[in-house]
Amino acid sequence: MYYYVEPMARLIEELAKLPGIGPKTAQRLAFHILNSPMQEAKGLANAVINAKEQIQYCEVCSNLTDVSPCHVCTEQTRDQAMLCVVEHPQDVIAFEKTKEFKGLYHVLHGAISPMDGIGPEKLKIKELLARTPTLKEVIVATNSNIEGEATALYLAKLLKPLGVKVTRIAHGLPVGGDLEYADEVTLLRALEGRREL
Amino acid sequence: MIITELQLINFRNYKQLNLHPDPNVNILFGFNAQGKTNLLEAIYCLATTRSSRNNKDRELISWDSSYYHIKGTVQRKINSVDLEIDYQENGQKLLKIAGIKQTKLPDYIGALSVVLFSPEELVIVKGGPKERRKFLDLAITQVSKSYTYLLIKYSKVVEQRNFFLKGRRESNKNEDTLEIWDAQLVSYGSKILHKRFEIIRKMALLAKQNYYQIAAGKEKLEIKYLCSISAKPDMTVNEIENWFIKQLLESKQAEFSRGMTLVGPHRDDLIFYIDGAEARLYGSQGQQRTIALALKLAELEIIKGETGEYPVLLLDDVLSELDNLRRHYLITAVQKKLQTFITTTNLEFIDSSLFSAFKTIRVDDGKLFF
Repeated sequence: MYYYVEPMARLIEELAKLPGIGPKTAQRLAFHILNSPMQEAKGLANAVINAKEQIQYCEVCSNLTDVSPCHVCTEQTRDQAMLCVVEHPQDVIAFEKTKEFKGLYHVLHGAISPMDGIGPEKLKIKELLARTPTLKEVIVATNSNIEGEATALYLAKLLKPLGVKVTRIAHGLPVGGDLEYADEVTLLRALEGRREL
Repeated sequence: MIITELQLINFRNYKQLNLHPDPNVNILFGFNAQGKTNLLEAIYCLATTRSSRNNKDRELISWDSSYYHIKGTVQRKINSVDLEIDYQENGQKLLKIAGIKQTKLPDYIGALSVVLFSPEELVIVKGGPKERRKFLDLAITQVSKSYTYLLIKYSKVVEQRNFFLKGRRESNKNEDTLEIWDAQLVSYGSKILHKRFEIIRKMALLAKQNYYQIAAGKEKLEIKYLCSISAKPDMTVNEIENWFIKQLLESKQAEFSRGMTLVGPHRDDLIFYIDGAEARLYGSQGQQRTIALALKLAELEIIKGETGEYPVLLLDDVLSELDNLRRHYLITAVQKKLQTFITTTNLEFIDSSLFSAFKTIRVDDGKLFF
């Protein structure tokens, strides 16, 4: 960074801290920002600050929101007795895109992983427990990796004694996929989860 | 399967090489440090994408270059395909089958299978349990892609579970969420065990026959799988699972106090007996070497049995380690059956009557002379 004047060097340095941005991309972005009109640069800076200031965790579902409780939690047309538990806010967006799921969500913000020092107490599980009295079914939609599966089991053990139905989303073949193109592992998984016709 | 053509660019001490190997036995001879083993390493690397000597990819690039390239044409039963590995100094590794880029490792591995036998393989007999599990797992992954997946998943569960147990011990907390890892540990672990039992059954029989013949009927080899959850080899996956759950329950307190996962396929071992005595402790160097050889030859047959084709056999400097009788047995066992690459410093190790049937190649400073 020796070659740049201090404000430029700082901008590059800050940009390079972002995930997926290496020094070269950071440099390109910095030049782009410098060459754009003042208005746009200010727009970017304000967007960053506004997002950071206004976005918070929803007091009910722990999703990211600008108002708390969030828009999903206050939507009265949704099935208030059905809840989908996911690891990350991005997962909520994926479900919402289906336009089919009409229940509520709960975001854990991660999965149990002793390797990374994440125990159940670091996830939004207390908040989930507070919601259970009004629920009939909890759909556990954590990822299908080791940590996601362990988290699902943990939730099942916690919730079942409370009289809630706990279900797990299915894993296996992608819809519209031809069998011959599926890899062996996915096929194995689909075979294990087979159901009677 | 047979390698019909091999091309190397900037691989170790080969700047440029183009070889049309013999479908039968290829003998690479020459002084030390001329590149005999490097050639075997290139074939091993083409098959597994990894160095046989635990070298890093960067170290495989020849001096003064920025990339290496290996290309091989492999003749299989049904077709002939080109395999390519291209490695750039910056860490970019490109794998191709028939010119098509392969992004998933399990899709690439298996297109060419190899079995390597070098003096270091003695660790299978002499080394720790880890070496024997590694040998067994490597043999099985050559014939089962789903086994590779099970191993990856299983070791991840063990790692997480161990972190939990260690953390619990150090913090003196009494929380008990161990069981959330157990379901996956049992599920993956039992499938691994079931597959191991199946392969061990075949391998033990084949190795026993091989040993019996090499030792001219004088000694008997027995192989036993030492199972930490004491499951029986004829159990179904379900039965193994139940057994596993029971054993986990019994070792729970011990696991809490030691802070690690104490039972499962990651703690198992193979034991070799010669005439009833444990070979690791009481066998002579020669007996141990013969066991390793018998195991490797059994591995060939297992790959043939599961995939329908013999792998390519790489014998790195093993002739000098064997006596006349064993050398003769080895060479007659492989010739006319599968493609073999043998490195040796001394041609005298090979019966001269066999020369006419073999391809002998002199290796001199990264160049081949026929």
